[in-house]
Amino acid sequence: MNCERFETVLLDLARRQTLEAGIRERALAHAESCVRCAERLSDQQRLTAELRALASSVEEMQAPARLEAALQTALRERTAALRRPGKARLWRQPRWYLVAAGALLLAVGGVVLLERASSPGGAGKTGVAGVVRSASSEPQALVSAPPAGPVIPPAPPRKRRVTPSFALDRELATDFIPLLYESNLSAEESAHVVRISVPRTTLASLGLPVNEDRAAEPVKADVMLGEDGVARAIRLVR
Amino acid sequence: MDDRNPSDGDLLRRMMAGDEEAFTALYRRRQGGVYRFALQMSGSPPIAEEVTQEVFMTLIREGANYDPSRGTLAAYLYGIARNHVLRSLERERLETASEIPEQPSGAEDALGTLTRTQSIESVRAAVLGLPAHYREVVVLCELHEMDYAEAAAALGCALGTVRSRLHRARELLAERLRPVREANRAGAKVCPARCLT
Repeated sequence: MNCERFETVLLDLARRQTLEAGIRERALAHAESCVRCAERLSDQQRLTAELRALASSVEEMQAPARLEAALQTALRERTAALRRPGKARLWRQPRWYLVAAGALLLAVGGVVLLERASSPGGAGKTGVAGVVRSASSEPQALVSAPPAGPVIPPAPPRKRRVTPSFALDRELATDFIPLLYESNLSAEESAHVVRISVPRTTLASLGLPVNEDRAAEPVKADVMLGEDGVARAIRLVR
Repeated sequence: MDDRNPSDGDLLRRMMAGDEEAFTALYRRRQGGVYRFALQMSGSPPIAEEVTQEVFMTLIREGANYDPSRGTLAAYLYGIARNHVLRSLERERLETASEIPEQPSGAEDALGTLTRTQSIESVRAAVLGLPAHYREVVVLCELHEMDYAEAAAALGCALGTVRSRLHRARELLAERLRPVREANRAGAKVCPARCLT
């Protein structure tokens, strides 16, 4: 064995790890004939002993006893929460917090939506995905709209609420509700609408009436996207 | 596994079903290692306590995510602990930097170390002075006697990476402890004369 080969087995040799008998013997024989490698081995063996002494010095150390009681309480509370039916259980799942954060913008819209749904002419119209409209008063710019998709009449410039909704066939939709105060469509900008699903529990968390038996079911919504891909407004579809 | 000595997996399953006794048994079995790992990684008892709490809170909340095919439960817990320790260290980097003892780097440090009654403190300081990615393999493989595979599972890296980091870490430790050893040897020679005067 040469010094280079010795170096590759030094770690296991010094840590008293399992080595093939032949390799161990050859490595030790090399160390006997090579001062440098013998020093390296001695150095590393000493380090092993020092590290084991350090490990022994703390092997009885434990976490403070108060932790155990605190964690038992936490387990109890979680178990109780999981056994509670309905919303409490759902809200223990971390993903719902994320969903809630994302849907916070719906809160304001949800209230407006309920008010408008009860007002004359407030019933929704089509929710077909791909409905495209322009916020400008110019002829509508259609982006990736399916041919059958109805075109929504343009709203006056700078008006945040884009359009009233209309009853159409079987689907009902609310008005579009702006999601961001500062991101209204510019006069020249076109937009397109994409159909998505929103967890029903999200709406429940926002104070909208939701049947808890159907809490896991999604609800449909149309999101209006600007040219930059940022969502500008949303409406709920039934 | 018999009822008197259930496996970690059995205890975890029962715990996830709300069995408090199972949780207590699992906690008592594993908390010491987790606590010591966090302490040896951070050098800070408050961080070690906080990390231990976070590890078991994570187990309570997300124990169902544990996948036995990816490693032992112990490795899973160490992995969580490691992430929390690194985050804590990052958060308290400036404060902890002043708490971690400097590793000896020369004659003056070595002489200073001589005044310590236990050379073990020098080793502890040298381990704490290692970069985190070297420190964690030393703590797991040397102080917790994990094999390479288990350490790799805990750290989420390849077995070869553990081995090479351990090799390098030991080189660094030996290098940093050399002045202390030499000072100890010199002190041992000098001491009888001093004692006579």
